[in-house]
Amino acid sequence: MNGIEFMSNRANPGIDPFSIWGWQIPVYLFLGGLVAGLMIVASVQEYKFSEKWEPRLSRIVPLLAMVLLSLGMFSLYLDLDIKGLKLNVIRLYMTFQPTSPISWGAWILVITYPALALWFLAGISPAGMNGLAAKFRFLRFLVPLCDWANGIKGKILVANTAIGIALGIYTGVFLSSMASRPVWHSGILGPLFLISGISTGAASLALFKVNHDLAKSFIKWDIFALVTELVFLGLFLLDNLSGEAFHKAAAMLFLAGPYTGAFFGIVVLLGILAPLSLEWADLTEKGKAPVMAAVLVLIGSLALRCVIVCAGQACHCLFSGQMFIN
Amino acid sequence: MAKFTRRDFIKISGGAALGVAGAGMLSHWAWPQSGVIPDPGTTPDRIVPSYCGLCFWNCGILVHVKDDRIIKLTGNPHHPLSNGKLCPRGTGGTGLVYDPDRLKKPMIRKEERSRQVFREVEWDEALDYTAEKMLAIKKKYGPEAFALLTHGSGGAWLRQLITSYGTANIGVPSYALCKGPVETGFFLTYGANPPEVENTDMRNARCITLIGTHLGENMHNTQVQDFSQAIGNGAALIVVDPRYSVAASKARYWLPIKPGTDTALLLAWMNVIIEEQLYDADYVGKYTTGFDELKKHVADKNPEWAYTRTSIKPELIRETARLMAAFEPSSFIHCGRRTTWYGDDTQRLRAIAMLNALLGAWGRKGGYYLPAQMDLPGYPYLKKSDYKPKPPVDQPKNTAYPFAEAILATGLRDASIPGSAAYDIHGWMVYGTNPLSSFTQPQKTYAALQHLDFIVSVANLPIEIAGWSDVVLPECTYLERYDDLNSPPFRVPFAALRQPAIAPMYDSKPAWWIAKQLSTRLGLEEYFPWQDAEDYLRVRVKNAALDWDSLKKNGVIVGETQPIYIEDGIVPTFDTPSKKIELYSAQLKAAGFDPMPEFKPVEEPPEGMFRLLSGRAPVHSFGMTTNNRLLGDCYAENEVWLNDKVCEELGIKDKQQVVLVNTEGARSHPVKVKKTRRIRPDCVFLVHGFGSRQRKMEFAFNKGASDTVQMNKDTTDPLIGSKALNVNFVKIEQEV
Amino acid sequence: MRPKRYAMTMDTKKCVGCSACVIACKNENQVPLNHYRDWIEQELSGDYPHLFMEIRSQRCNHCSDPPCVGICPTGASWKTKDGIVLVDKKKCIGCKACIAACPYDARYVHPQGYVDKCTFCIHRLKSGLTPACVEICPTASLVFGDINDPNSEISKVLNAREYFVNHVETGCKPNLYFLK
Repeated sequence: MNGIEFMSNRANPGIDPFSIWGWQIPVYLFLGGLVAGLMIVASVQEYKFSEKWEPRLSRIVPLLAMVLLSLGMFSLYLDLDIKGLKLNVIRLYMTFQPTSPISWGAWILVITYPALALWFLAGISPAGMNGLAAKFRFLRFLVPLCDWANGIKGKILVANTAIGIALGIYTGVFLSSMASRPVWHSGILGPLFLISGISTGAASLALFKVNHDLAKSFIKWDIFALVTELVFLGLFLLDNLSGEAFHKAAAMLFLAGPYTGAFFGIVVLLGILAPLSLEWADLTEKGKAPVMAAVLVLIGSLALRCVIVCAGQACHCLFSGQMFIN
Repeated sequence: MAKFTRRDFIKISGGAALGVAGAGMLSHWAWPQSGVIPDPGTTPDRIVPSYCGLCFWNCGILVHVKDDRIIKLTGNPHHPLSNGKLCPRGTGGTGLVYDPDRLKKPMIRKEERSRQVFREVEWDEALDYTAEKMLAIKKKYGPEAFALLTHGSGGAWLRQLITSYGTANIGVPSYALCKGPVETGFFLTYGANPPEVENTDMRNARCITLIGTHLGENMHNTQVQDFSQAIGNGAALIVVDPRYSVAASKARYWLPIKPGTDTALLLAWMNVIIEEQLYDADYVGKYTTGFDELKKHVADKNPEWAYTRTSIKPELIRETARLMAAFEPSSFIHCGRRTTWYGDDTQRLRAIAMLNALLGAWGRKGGYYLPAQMDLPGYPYLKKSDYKPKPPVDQPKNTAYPFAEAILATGLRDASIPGSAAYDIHGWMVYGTNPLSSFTQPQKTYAALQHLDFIVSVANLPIEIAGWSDVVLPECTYLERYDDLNSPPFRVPFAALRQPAIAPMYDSKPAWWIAKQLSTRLGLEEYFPWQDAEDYLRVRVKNAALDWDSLKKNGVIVGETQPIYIEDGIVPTFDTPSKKIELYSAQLKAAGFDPMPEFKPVEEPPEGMFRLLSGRAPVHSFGMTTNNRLLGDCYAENEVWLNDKVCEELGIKDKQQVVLVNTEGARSHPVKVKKTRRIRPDCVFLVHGFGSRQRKMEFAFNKGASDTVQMNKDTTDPLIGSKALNVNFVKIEQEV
Repeated sequence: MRPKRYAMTMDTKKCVGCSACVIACKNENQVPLNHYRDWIEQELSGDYPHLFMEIRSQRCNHCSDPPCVGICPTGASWKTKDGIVLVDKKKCIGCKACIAACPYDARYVHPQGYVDKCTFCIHRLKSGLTPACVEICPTASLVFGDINDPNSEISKVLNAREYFVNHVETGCKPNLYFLK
């Protein structure tokens, strides 16, 4: 029995063939995950293991996160298909749509900035702030804020962790809420993207010159995250394989299809297994390649989002001709 | 081992899943239920009824105009051909009116032919020049050396012009290249032929047999409406086609016949129906002559005989014959339209006509109705020319096609190559047709073009023939002009009006104006007594005792319903020599032809080659519409259909570009392959009308491949001189 | 009175896939060239010569549970009380989430910068007209109406014929019914 010979005279740009979203969305999801990872790893580390924490990181990490987050949002902004200056984007913040993960995400991003800012302020000692304000008078208004932030430092760290988790999960739910794309429509995607984000955050933090203990902690974080990510990837495939025919076919896109190479070669091998072994070597004092490990983790994580975003769009096309009897 | 289900995994994945589920529950109350209701602003400020010009079926349309711009076209609910519905081409007429490539001003060639170097001129200059050239030909060779090739409504005005000029060489391409065999095949049998709007009573049929007729891809509006209605009513459908056409997909039986063997199948069907005494004996006894001869003729042509020729299994032939007979007389074999296939076509159509007679279908409900027509006197031209033109020169020297009922346009083309015919043609006026795409033997068309003294073409678009013309006259489209009344034979008599919905765009003019202007310059003004088309039409309408205002307002006047079936009391008459349906044709015998159709094997494709078949896409009327960007949105370029197994053998992928090369070495333009199960392995299929080489048709230029380029072979029907289209063989070259 | 629930039936038996619906829609709704609010699909199965082909005229399914509306972050996608799914182009930010969320690929980005789709010709309904595709269809394959009204033509058709809908697995409860 031959398969189906399918013909359609529709040729909508961006749909036929699929390319609803280009590079901007994977980059946005990647940067969102990275920021989430930085927030979670750094704030947990600072909160729980303050004895080995390096306070300068409390200033660098929130600033870095804000820059990365802004880049991510700019990437999303670039993707918007509206004309001119795209000022219509303000509409995102003129409403809250409880059913829309994107609306949730937009508001999560909005609360991420003040959380990061407070973290940053809490990273400056009140004395230091006074000194700064004496030099730059326009910064005087920050003095009470800084005092306040220092006072509730613990709560700020907890909030940053919580927001980081929400942000990380959101980057997955962004896709998994769509039943139209079997590859994406999997509950695993939120946790998967969260854990992948944590791994990028940990790997990036491991690049900072910090004390030996803290450096080892970051590596442990990353090893934990990468191993978990591997498990989640397996679950993601099993989840699809145990589903209906179209979910099975979705899994086959990775197992024996157009995305097999990218998935196993870049995401799994280069992006997880290779850095995992490098970091293991590091932890067991058998070798040191923190930069290489971090770069590989970042590449793998970006590749994961690219592969999932692409496969999700392609997988819908595969099924546009399928029908299901009512 | 416990079996994990998808549901378990969703549970495992915890928080995220909860979030999604929560969002889902929220949805019902959270959906926005207000917003701006979109309005595209296409409500017309006036609606002008007219009739369509995107093909020759002439459906009634409503032209919706807003701010003097045609925004949409719909079917006229009062018009019996459209019943408020339209086919995609008619709907997409806006794409023709607003085609940016339209001819905008008259043009005169500056340099030698075959190079498109024109200068834009004013109408006066173009018309003066045309008249001068026409008068020169008349003086030098006589008026018969000038020919008109015409297709479509506007041609009537030019026909009047050219007739009064003094030549009988007026050719409509559709006889020699399309409908000739069906017209004459039926005429030889019934003394009547299926009219332009074929008189099949499909909507009442209980069994329909289509031979090559691809209804649904061939989108004649009324016919397809009836076809769908019949399908909806559960009519049985038998489709004979080497290709799994859309119609075949609706059929109870699809018989993928070996191309060129249809007559064998028809004879076998007659064999079964006669042997098993399934024919309508009353009808046959009452109205036909030659039944005994036919019985003897088909006695040995049983399904087993036909199987070895057609590749259709004997039991299938028997089953389908019994099926069609079970529903007689509400069962018919469709006469078809483009029937110029293999060169013995008139005889094949005779076989179809005869099988219909055995089913008692002609004149019967669910078969072929007997059409009614409005009594509409022609314009009372008082001045008749005294000049008796020489007989037309459409048949080659020393050859006669004794049963040709119309002038062969291809014959006029051949007569334009010096020495081919009794006298030579030296000038052409071309209207509504593009011989470079529509005429087979393109090599002869090019030869003719090289020899002609003068060519003037009247067209909407810069089609290929315009590029070869010495003068190009921009005609306005059918939506911007009056044309003659349309009143074809149909199931109800009616008369329909074509009237302008908007003023002609650019410097284009209606054909009636062009004809009248030329008539004064040719000294023929007395043959054009009317002021303008409206004046002409008012006279005709008045003489028919119809109401002009009502016609203008509704676009159509429908006459009294008349009986159209024998069941309703019509006594059928047959305008044949015997005054009966001639199963045996004595006149064919007398002229040296087979009195009853014989199966004659056709040439087989050489090893590694495929028979080239062609047909239609529903959104196109051949090359007439391939530049229409709106229609192009649904089918912009043709593909060559190639059987999937053959593709695999040849290593050809779907959508791969290939070139077709025929037995004479003619190469097609690069064309994509449609790898499909929907065609036999021994043939390929192209939608006709693509592969334009005219740069000025910017949209159509170089899109797809032209089937005409491959139609070098000159296989002619000996009865009527029509040209066979399905006799060419091509191989597939993968190096583009 | 029960609210209306507008729906459409599409007769796969009678449709010949001519595309008149597509062209009529393009004119009626000023759909730009190379963009489609409705389209034709042909699906062939079986082995030569035992083939089967289904022809469908496709468009937005105006789902009862429209994923495109749920996912829209600005409320630009919305649903009328009568069940017609629309886009308020002024509110659209072109994020294309609705395009990704639509199981039918029924939405596209209009060149003027917003997401566009079939409206069931809502601007015609108030004058008692049917959608342009339904009006033009030479095979009368399309029937439009209120399925909450048991006396409507569409309710009668759905009662009389076997039908299916596409992509039920997405749970979006489509309202474009294909007659078998």
